[in-house]
Amino acid sequence: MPLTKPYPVYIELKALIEVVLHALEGLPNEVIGFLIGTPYVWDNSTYVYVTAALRGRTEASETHVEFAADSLGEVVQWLRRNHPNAAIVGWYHSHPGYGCFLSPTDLASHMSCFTMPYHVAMVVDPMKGEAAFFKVVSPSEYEQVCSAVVRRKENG
Amino acid sequence: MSRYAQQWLGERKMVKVVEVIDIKIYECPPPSEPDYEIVTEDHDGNGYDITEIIKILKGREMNERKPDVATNS
Repeated sequence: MPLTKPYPVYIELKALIEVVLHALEGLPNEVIGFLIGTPYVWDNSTYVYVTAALRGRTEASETHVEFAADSLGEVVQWLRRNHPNAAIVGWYHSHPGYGCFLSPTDLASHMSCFTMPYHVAMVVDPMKGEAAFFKVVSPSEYEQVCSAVVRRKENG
Repeated sequence: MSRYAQQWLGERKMVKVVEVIDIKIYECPPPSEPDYEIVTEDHDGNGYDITEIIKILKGREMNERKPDVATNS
């Protein structure tokens, strides 16, 4: 049992691969999607365990992406069917070729759309080969957070 | 009742994730040995180098595109 405080984010390898695959398939455009998992608390720290990534149906360009109008209804149906006990714990999107950070638009989107304290943002750059997790502190401030990629052992 | 309601936000057309049912946050230790393998860790919050994953995924894509010589001959 771990003795240290948990990282803010743990992500299953298969979920990370799904995000990267989505970002590659979307090139040259940006892609966007939801991070599915469970928030937990341990040693007085909240963390999220991301177990799946769900692609959002989008309208996208090379520098802009947005969810299609009825995408959340589909997400809820998918969650009920495949992960009935899971929650939306954050979102991801890609920055093809311009690195991992949150733009002012990303910050505003996160602040207004992902309001739970455990919600995280992930950015992946499939051209530079980078990925990172962020937590938003205020409308003008965010921090890149520590995380771990894990794989559940089949006999575990 | 749906766990999430949907609101639309102006020009950006983002969905607002509204928790209709409170998500209970349970106490649970983070994933660790022996039940989990820690594949890689970002100790310092500097992000990940995912070039190896990209190479593997691109390699898989190339293999899927290769014509099957046996059936095409």
